[in-house]
Amino acid sequence: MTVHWSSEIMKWEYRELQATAMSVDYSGNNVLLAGRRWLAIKHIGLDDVPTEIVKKYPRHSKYDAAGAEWCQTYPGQKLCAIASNQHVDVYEWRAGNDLMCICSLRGHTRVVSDTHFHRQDHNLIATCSIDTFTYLWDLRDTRKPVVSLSAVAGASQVQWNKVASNLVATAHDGDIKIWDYRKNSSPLHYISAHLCKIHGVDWSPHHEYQLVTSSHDGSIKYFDIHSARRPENIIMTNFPVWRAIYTPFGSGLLTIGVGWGGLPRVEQAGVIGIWIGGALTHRLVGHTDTVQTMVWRPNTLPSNYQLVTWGRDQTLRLWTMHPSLLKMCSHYLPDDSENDDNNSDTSYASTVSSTNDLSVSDSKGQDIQMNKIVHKTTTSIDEEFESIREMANIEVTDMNIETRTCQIHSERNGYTANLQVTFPRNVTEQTIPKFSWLSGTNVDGATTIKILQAINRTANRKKKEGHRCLLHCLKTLATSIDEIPVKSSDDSDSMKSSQRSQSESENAGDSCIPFPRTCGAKWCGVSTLVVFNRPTNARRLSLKHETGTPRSMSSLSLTPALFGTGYTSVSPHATTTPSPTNASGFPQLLHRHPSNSITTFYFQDRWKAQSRRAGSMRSRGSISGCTPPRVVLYATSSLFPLNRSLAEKYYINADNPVDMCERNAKVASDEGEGELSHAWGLAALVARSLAARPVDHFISGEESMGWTGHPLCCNLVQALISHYAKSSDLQMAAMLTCAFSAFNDTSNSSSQSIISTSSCGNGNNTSPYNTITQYSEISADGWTLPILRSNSCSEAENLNTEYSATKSEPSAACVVDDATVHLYHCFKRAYADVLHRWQLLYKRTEVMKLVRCKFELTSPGDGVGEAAWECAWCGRTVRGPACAACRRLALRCAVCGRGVRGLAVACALCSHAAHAQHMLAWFAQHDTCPAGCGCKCIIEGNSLWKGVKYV
Amino acid sequence: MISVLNTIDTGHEDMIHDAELDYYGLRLATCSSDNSVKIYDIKSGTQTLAADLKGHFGPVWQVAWAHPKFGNLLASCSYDRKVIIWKELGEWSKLYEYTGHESSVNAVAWAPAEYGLILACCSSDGSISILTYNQDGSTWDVKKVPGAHAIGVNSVSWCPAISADLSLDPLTNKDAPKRLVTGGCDNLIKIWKEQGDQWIEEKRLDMHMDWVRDVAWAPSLGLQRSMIASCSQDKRVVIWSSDDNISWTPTILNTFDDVVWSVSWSLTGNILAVSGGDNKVSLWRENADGQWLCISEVAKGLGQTTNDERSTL
Repeated sequence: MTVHWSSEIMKWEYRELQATAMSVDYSGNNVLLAGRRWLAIKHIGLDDVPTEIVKKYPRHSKYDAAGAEWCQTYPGQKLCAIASNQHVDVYEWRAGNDLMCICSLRGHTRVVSDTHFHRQDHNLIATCSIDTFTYLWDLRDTRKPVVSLSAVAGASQVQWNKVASNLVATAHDGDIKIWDYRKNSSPLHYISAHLCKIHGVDWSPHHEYQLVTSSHDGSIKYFDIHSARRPENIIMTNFPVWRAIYTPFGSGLLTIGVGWGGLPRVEQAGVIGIWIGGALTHRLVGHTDTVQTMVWRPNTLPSNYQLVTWGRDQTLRLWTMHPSLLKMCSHYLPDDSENDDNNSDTSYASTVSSTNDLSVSDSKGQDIQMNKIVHKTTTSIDEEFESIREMANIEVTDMNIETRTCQIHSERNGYTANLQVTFPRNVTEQTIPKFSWLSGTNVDGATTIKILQAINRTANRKKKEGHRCLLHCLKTLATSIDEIPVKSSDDSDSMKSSQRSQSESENAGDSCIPFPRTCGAKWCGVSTLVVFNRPTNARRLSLKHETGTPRSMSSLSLTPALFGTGYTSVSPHATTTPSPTNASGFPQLLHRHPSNSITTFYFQDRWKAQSRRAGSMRSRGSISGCTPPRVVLYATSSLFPLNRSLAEKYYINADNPVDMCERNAKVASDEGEGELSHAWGLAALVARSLAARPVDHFISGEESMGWTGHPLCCNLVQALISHYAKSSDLQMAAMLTCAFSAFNDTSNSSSQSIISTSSCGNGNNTSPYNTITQYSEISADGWTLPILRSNSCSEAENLNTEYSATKSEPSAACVVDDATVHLYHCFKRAYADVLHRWQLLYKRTEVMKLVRCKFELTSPGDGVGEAAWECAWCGRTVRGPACAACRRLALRCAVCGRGVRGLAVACALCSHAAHAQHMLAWFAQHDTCPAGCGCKCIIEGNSLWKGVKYV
Repeated sequence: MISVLNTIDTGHEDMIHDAELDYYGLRLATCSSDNSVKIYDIKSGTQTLAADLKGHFGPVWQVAWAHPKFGNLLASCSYDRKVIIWKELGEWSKLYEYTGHESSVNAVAWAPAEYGLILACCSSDGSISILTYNQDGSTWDVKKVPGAHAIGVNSVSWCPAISADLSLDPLTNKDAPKRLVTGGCDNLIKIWKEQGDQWIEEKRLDMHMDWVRDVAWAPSLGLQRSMIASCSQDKRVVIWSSDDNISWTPTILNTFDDVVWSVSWSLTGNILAVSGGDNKVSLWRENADGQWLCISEVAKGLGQTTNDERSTL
């Protein structure tokens, strides 16, 4: 459920500024608005007086400010950076009224997309650009970047880790890279986060290893960078998400979208969503157009978090977080503490009473008294620090009175907690210090939030009482850590090892995906070679050529070293500054393209040249300007002995081998295949002798026996067949086996075999048999014709019965063993497949007729194909109109329900049949089967037959 | 000797990763990094775009046509972890979408038509999936072989149904044992056999020294000898031959200049097309002495062919 309310407390409108970027300074009181013509600083003081006092500084630039940012450290709080086109200007705001440009960072070759000051070191700033580089600059020497992080795709975001000082995350299209800037040659982690462009990255304020990404694909993903293969959590929204940022309190998330899905844009643009626990819980409504920037106002009280936003409606708004919202995010609220004071008192009393330094037991009664001595305690940062010098279980690792921070390290039961405590400067009496986690903390996210809650509660209580709070807070910390269930050593070990193996083998998802093929050749059809390849103008860097083609896709992005320092490639899709300020609205859907980098991989020269020449960023379409990808089909029939025109002309008649061989010899010679013609001539001779043999048989002369055993008889044909098979002339081998039906059966040479062949071959070439044979396969495969059956199918059913009977005695004449017969059948079958591909279906059928199971046909009457159906009444399989068993018309009309006598039509797919007249009438009006099976007989039936190509 | 039949400007906005003609050689399917699959009708030197299939959200790695007796079916697999089976029913539309893989699906292959409508898919998550169309419920049964290859499976190919096994009926070949060969990132080639409803590893072939990129089981004419070609990141192509599908003898076809990406057998199984990272395609044929000779090299992009050695064969 979404509660819908607006809680902005302040609103200012500045149309004339045309600002495109906004930032709030360290103090939280000054807002920088940057536009093409003006830079303006707006004071939003605590007094909350709606004032128009804005300091305006003219800035005459051709380019919009792509980003503006104040440095968020105390020493650097006067610094701000404004990104504009290819460079970043760093300004110093002196004495509250003078905005001076102190340096300009020039190094990027294309539009700078984001900047980010380091969280601790105000001299360090990271900038990233769609020229693929991320630079880190030291402001003391700005001639060139101190560190350069190189990637393949352009970077859209750069974010320093909020906890660990050396980690930085960059977003490249759909990927996130995590870098340790001390080791800049390659990223520490590589996260294939989204399929679309990532618009926003935000590190968790509480946890070193966690971050959240928002993408154009409408999803928000939480990642732990150590198990980067799978996001820890995913929130799917119905709109592209421009930004998703953690709430500084508890576990919430704020999002701004790029229009809200199907909802009218005008109404819904500008809505800020607050997500708690994966559900959209609240919406902040106020902006009338898309929100461009939202930042948490720094330096606010923990009980009073404020959000500052700037939208395209040119309004600056300040929002407070409703207490109920903070509570929902499981954030500790001082106001609520009274309610559970008793609980917390008891639980912490035990903690505290165990130490001798101070006792809280008197707190209740002395509230008033303590509040009187407030002045004494608040100023004493020294005292606060002094108080924690000697503590068990807690180690103070760093203490800096100037910056008013200290860092605490505690290690118990295998858990490590590193906490930073910052005492605010503009302190009021009740201000509690700010606690945040530092790197190295290995307590899980939910627990860290709970601990912070407990610490805040303690701090608040102590402050109210007028005590120093730090000591007690740290005691709370120590106790809380003790209370975390202890991991068994096995668990932690296995966890560690699994984590390690994960990060080693899985952190780069693409590292196990093979490098994409960009060139290939495939044999298709009978003799066509399909070739695709990179255009000839594609060229890799010679550097890469030496190292060979990489093996995995991650090479596209993980090996910056490969590209050398001079390499600047341009991701073709990052063509415009990814900012909502583009007049036409938001970036169009940019699908994620790992192959961007493939294209870049091969076309980088071109990209470089192009961008140099045109100087424009407008090259759209990844390989526009290059030859479009082509596929070339090569006819290679000359490489194969298969000849389609021969196949068309060859005569197949197993009944008369002599005639067949002679006619084919002529066909071959007509086609100019002299050798084949000669072979057919030899075959004809053999055929003639075989045909004569039955006569010889009666004579039973020595001569005839000699001839059949003669090498020029069967052996010659076999030798010819095996010769052609060996030289891959499947066509000739198969055709020869067709000619000699003697080879069709193991029960060879008997006249019976010839007869049975002819019984089958007698069928008219145009008989339905031809087509049905083909489709009998379908029914045999259980595909589409459940009832219509052909004779060959029924043959198959009867195979086993006849098996032993037909395994007849070998004849003395042409001894062909089982294996050879089988082989010959395989030849014919393979050749039939070739004919099928050539769409010579009649020829194919003629050949297939000769491929036979080793078994005789059971009933001679089956010679012609015929439909069979199940009797509509008794279910028996029936041929002919009436069922023999129940003596009724077997076929029932699906339309009128009566038996069908005469012309019937059946759907090939659902097999429902009806009177032809009824069927025609029905389908004139309907398109689904009259039997109500839902089959779209006309469409499906047609498509079923569509696969068949007739000559 | 080799002539260009057709040159198709695919209009893809990015690199092509696969192209295949259908059974009859009348339609060309291509797939690309622009996430789309395109189908062209090919007619004597001209082509018309018949369909532009959009459904993948990542580069599409491979396409495969099913046997036409099942209708016009095309399978495609993509980086987006999906396999889509497209069907033409007047218009092309999605028939089935398989999302059971956890990483990029690198290859798809239809089983020989005799077995029915069966698709094998292999993925970088290390598993192979066998999708079988079940006509009764118009559903697809999925059988997954997890952990087939460590790191990932790159390629899959079916053993032809026509076999030298005497007990089989050459007409249907329905009962021929189903076999698959796969190549993976563990540098191994594995042969899988279906037993009952399980796919068991029958044999593993270890020869390559780097990722195996493609495997191809040669079509069988019914001869005893079966052959498998494999190619690898180690720049070698190996021909494996066997008389019993149990013991396999490797022969190194050649060591190329660059990694080899694909191998493809001609229909009659005697010519092998090899292509790789150097953007070149070469054709190889075994001579009578069992030696493999390069019979031509299609110099890519130039459309030139050299065919010197053919006369000597």
